[in-house]
Amino acid sequence: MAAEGAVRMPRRRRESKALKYVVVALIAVFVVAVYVFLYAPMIITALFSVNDSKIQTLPFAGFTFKWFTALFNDGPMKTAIFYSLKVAAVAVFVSACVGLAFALMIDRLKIRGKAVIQALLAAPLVAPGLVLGISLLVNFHTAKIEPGFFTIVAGHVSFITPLIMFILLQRLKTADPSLEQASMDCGAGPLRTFWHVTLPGVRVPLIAGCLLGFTLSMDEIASTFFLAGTQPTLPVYVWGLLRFGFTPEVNAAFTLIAGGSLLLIGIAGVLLFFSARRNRLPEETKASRWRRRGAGRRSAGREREVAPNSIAQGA
Amino acid sequence: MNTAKEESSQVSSVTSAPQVDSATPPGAQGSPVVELKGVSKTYPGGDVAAVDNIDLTIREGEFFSILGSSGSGKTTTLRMIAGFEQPTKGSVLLDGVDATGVPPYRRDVNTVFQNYALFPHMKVEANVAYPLKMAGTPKGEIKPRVAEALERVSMTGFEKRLPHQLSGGQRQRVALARALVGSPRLLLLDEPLGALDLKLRENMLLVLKHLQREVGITFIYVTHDQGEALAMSDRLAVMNGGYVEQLASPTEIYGRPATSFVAGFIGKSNLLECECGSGGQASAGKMPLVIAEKPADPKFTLSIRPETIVVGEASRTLANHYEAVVGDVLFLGHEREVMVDCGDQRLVVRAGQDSYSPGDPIEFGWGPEDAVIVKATGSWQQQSEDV
Amino acid sequence: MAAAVGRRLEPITALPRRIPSSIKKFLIVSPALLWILALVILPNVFLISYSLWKNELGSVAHVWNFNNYSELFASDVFITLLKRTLMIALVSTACATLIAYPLAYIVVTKFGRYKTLAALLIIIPLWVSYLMRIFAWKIILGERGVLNGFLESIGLINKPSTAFLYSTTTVIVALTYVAIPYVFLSSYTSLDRVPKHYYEASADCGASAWRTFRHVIWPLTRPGVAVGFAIGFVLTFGDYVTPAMVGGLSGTMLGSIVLQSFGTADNWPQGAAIGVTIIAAGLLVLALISFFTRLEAEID
Repeated sequence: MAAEGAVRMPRRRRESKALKYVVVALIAVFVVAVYVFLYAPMIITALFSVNDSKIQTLPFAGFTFKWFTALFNDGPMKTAIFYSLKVAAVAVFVSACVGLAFALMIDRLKIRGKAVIQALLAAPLVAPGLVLGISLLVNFHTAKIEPGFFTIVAGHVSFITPLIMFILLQRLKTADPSLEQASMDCGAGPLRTFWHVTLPGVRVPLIAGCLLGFTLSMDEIASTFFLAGTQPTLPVYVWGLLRFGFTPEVNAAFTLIAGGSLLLIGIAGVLLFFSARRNRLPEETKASRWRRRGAGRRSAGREREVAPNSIAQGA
Repeated sequence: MNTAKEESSQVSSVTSAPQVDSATPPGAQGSPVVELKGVSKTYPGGDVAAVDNIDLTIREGEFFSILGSSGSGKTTTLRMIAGFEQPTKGSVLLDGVDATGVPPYRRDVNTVFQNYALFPHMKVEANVAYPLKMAGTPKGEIKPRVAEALERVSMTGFEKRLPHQLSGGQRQRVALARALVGSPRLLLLDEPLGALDLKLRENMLLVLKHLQREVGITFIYVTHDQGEALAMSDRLAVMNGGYVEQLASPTEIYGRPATSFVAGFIGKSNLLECECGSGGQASAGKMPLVIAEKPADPKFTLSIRPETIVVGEASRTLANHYEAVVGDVLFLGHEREVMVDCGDQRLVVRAGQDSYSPGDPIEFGWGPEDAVIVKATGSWQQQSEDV
Repeated sequence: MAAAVGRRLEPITALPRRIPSSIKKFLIVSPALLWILALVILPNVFLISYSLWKNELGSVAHVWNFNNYSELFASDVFITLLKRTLMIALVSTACATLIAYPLAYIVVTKFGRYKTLAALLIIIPLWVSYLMRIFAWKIILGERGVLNGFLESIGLINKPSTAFLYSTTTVIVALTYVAIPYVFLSSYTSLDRVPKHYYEASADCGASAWRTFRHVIWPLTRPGVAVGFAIGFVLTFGDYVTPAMVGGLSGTMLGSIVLQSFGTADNWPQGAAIGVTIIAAGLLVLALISFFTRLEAEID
């Protein structure tokens, strides 16, 4: 036993290898299944939006765009879409301004109870839409404000603001504090420093947050249902259709909305990804590590090129 | 502008003791650009002062360094000059005017930050043009001045690059250009070479020194690296625990350290605790010593640099000559560092190419003028008052 | 040159010195406090007030009483509904957790450089129309829907089943679907924070993957999962869209009643009371979870 050495061989080697393959296969199946589970509804909706049949069943009847054209001719639907766009635009604009202000405040101010304030601000974001909707509804009712544009926007603003605020806080936390000092050192006062240095630094997360907030607003149903007045937003209108009278036009509408949302999120994601890479302090980012593996020789070559130059120039 | 005579009498309390400082380069005898008078800084909630009652005068056109380890107060001092911190006591004067309460953007002082602090969303030319833009320089003037600044740091051709596309050394030079473009009265450098690798750093030492001579602006350089400080400065202040241990030229600081801290911090030094007997005979423990001047205090510390100790037969003619046993040997490549047990004292000597092994006999010695009496660590300000 | 420094040395005379910093800080925080008051505190205060008032023929009479609550809790229907809602929410969130957490573990440990992409793909559905995703389940599970068609075609069943749609199970499946991304997000964030060298150190000490998980990974990530579970629970407990779409009669939840109360039934106080009950239940579960897993107060 003493002469065994430092390596202990597992006893049933060959058997455990086969077991390993089985486990890996099972895991793979599991993962794929989850992804299918998550995306199936969206894919199916997209499929049925081009299905030439009034009923939502298999088999497929044929390919058609008629639901999309019907959609474009549907008056109330179009009104609802534009109304939603208006709501989203206003809500996002307000949330961006307020979110930025709050993010700066939380990042810079040294007070106790910051966590409590953050938690309270985030409450509308984590609360179920139902609760948010009815609480704001009674709030406005007491204030004698009729449900309508203002109430919907207020509801959306209450949860888009913390969203933008948290996204910005993430950026502000990793921001280089010496940049603002350098700006002041160069002669820029607090306002000019904010405009020239601070704001550009958060520009991209701000835009990304706005895009994300926009999609959330366009999609919001749970709370908006209670806060809407006579003119419905798109989700509220579709909700009505679904419950009381349905046509496959709705599938087409859904597909368009989903496509639009995915596009906006894609843009937001790309923006955030590349800007984070650019603004990081000298430590490496995952992306640059990733790049370097692939373009290793190229980037190493660039460094070597530079050094001789600097010696020649610097001496 | 004061004359050299007026100036030296004015600042006699804060310059090094010997008035004939042969290391003072020409042009450094200028009017004081920065004066710190009794400046202390304690951070709210802290019980120890980060900077403890220091007086400094930095002269026009000189390359002044503040040297110290982290926590010594050197960066705090720099930030008070820049305007990012306000002293809790005392005042900071810029060109004779009290700058307390004046924010950084109103001081004609520019800083090169440790991490360069280049604005990541602006190209190099926009970064360098920023101070000019903030100062309201007419548009036509900005471009040529930016070009000139970039040329001075050998970064011409990089105007359209973004900071993240530059290497560390390049960013540092752009930061330098940005700090110089506005021709400020004073340039502060906060450990700018820290992030560079060795070769680049050695390069930049020369670049900075020449640059300072060329533009004639007063540089205040903060570092923990004594090599940098000794190499580049006209004068330097060694800080420890919030106060200045010694303020003098590099040769003075190296050759005649004022305190045991300075002796130990700069280069390597043998510090011997000595006593002066009633008969005038000095000794360190069991080692008898011959010293150059009579010490003020019968108990004192003596500092001898290893490289001034002569090893081998040649030491026999020196006043302090000893025969002892080798304790430990460290091979450094170009020489050997030998630890010697002499009586009850342990000294470090340099053995050149001679080889010694632990246990070998060794003889060494030094002349009395090569040893310096140093005070215990303490405010250099207070010490000069005692003198 | 000497004049250059002096010319610009005017100390700022604006606010700073005389106003104590605590007042300055309060002024800066006040907009946030007002915001919270108007949009978070007051609405809930009014909600509670409404639940304590009386419903008089469709309008609210400001008569303070506990009737709404006593009526509700005396009603068998309500209690049954409450229990069912609790069950649905717990089961669907639990299922979601059982799927999402292992998935997050796999993504974090096995996907290497693609893990961020894989994670994003799971989270993206959150941003796509909620309504659409739930409605799609109607298509899939309906009597002549996709699932039935598929099962028929492979011969598992002879004629389409009505069992898939309009039942409690349907709601559970749909809500699990909804909750997965939320629980995943929280689990993933928590798992991703575990430094790689913890795995290596544990393996170095002789632990198998399972033991590393049980003794190192799970204790460290438990709070994250708990947060995800809490969020998932709160969301599913108060949901009304899903029951309305796919729940049918046997799949109604508390939220459905609230919908009626504020809609056709026009009994706001009652709706408010149920709303308050929902909030209370959610807070209770949150408290229980944080008590048992020592929740870290970080909101990501």
